Amino acid sequence: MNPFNEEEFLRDKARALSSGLFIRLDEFVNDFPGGAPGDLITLVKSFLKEIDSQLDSTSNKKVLWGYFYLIEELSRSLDWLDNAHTAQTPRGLVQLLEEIASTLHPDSKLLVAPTREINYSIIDLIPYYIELAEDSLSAKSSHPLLASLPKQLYLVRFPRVERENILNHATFGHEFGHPIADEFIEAQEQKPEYARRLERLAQSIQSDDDLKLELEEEGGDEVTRSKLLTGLVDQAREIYRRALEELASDCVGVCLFGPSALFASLDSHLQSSLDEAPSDPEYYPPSRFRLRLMTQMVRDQGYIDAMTAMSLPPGLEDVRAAVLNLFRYLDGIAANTADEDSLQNDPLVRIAYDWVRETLSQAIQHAKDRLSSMCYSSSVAQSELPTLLERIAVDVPPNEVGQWPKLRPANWRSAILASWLTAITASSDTARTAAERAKRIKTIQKLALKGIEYALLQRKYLNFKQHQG
Amino acid sequence: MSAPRQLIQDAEAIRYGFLSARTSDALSSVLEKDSATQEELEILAKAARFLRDISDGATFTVSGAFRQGAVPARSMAALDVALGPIDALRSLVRENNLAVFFNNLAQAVTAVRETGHAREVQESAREAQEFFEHLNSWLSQELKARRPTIGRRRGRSP
Repeated sequence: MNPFNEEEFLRDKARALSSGLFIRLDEFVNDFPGGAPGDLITLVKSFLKEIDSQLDSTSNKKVLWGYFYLIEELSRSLDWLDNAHTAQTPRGLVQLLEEIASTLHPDSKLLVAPTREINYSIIDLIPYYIELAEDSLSAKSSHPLLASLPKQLYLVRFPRVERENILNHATFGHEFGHPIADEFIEAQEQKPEYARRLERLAQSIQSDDDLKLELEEEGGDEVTRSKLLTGLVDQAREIYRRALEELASDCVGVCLFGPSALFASLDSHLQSSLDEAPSDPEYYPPSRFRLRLMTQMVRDQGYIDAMTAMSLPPGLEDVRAAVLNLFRYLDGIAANTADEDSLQNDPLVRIAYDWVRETLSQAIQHAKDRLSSMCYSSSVAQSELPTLLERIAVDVPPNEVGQWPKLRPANWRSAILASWLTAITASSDTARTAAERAKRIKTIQKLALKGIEYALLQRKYLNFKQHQG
Repeated sequence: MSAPRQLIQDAEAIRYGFLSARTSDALSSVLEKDSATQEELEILAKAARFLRDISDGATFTVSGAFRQGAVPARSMAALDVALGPIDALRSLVRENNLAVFFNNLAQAVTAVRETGHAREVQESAREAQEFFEHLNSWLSQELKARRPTIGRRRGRSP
């Protein structure tokens, strides 16, 4: 009998885990024969084949341990695939996400999977898999696996408890802003001025009384001082980066969805304090700061004027009153500057936000330029909203505008906005009980979802017919 | 409402874990056998680039200015990773300054990669090997702490 061979044991165990994951992924193949889930399955299986082929030539125990971490990391895909079943995602939501993605990021793939968290997110999985493959699979940077990756594979997550609430899914406008904000930030980081700006940032940190004291008291030797200073510079960069990401993405949200993005944002921000300073790990800007910026943008884009001026059918005048009341409330939020006080209280946040204020307008301009034709205009809102509001009022989905026989599909953003305006009106109708208001809002959400599905389907059909001649 | 950062952070920890384990192994082998395989040379090329980035980051924190041609975001990220095993670094850096120390390591690893041996840079190559060994242990601890395996309940002290 040979003595116990630890290396052989580790290789066998890694092979067994890899094979287990491979089999679990195979169980999804019938559910997801193609599309983004199919691509993800193929991608992860390619990783596993590579790991298997490299295990035989690996004798370094630490590299073998690395494979355990890598296989565990690759197993995350099971959680995403478990939730990616179409039954968990309304068709209208998938349609609108594909509509945006096909214009903003042609050739990208979307994997839509709800989550138990009350949060929306979009992440391009390709940089993540590149990072995982870079030094793990082979010493070569031109590994064939890296060359075979799709261009972009977005993992889209939304709160499962809000699944049917299509009105709040206007938040995806913001989420689609993240890749656009990232483009801006990455381009900025390549410019020579970026190095100079970081040097100024380090000077500001070292000349601030509180931070200087921290560096002097805790930074004994050079290594410790470097670690402290690196930590502070990195933290300030992160606060800056996160602020630009979130604020530019908010503006993308308004461009794509109009006031619906602001209403969805308000719905979420009101669930916690509006004036919390950015904090580890996510460093979100204060909610009030974000609502102020979005309200201003909604005003600048002419949406408030459009909603004030739209000619409403008889019996729907209370819609205008309810919406203008909400904007008065939002103006009140914007006028309060408690968020500015919290930004000033922490020296590192204050320094980072000085930088944000220097760059924000450029980031917003980049986002607007990048969207251009995709933006939802206030004139479309003004012309389509009255008909759509009328339809919702009689429980008909808001999918068409015009007069029969010259009907045409509505802009799906108008369908969401009309539904939002009706929901805002219903929620401020104190003549109804809370239960009645909740029931009415549920009906509006269902109508909105159907409206989007029908409008996008009709447009697809009309395009098809036009193409057929 | 953001892209989950933890995902990229975990991927980075795994990536640098492999790089440090493979580099430490390659340097040990070169120091022992006085020659390098093609795969070891490829690993050392990546390690040299990583060390240059760390050195650029350290130059910035020590002098307050970036070297001409440095990539600031990449340098700061590399330095952040390198400063993980801080206690080990303190004993390694000794009389050098941090930027000079990492610059020496980068030059030594580059020399090994170019010549296939460590005859002229024995001491620095050994320090580089030691640095990557410590970095690997630290990354391993970090990954383990994020994912307790057996017996530890989240949210409770041991």
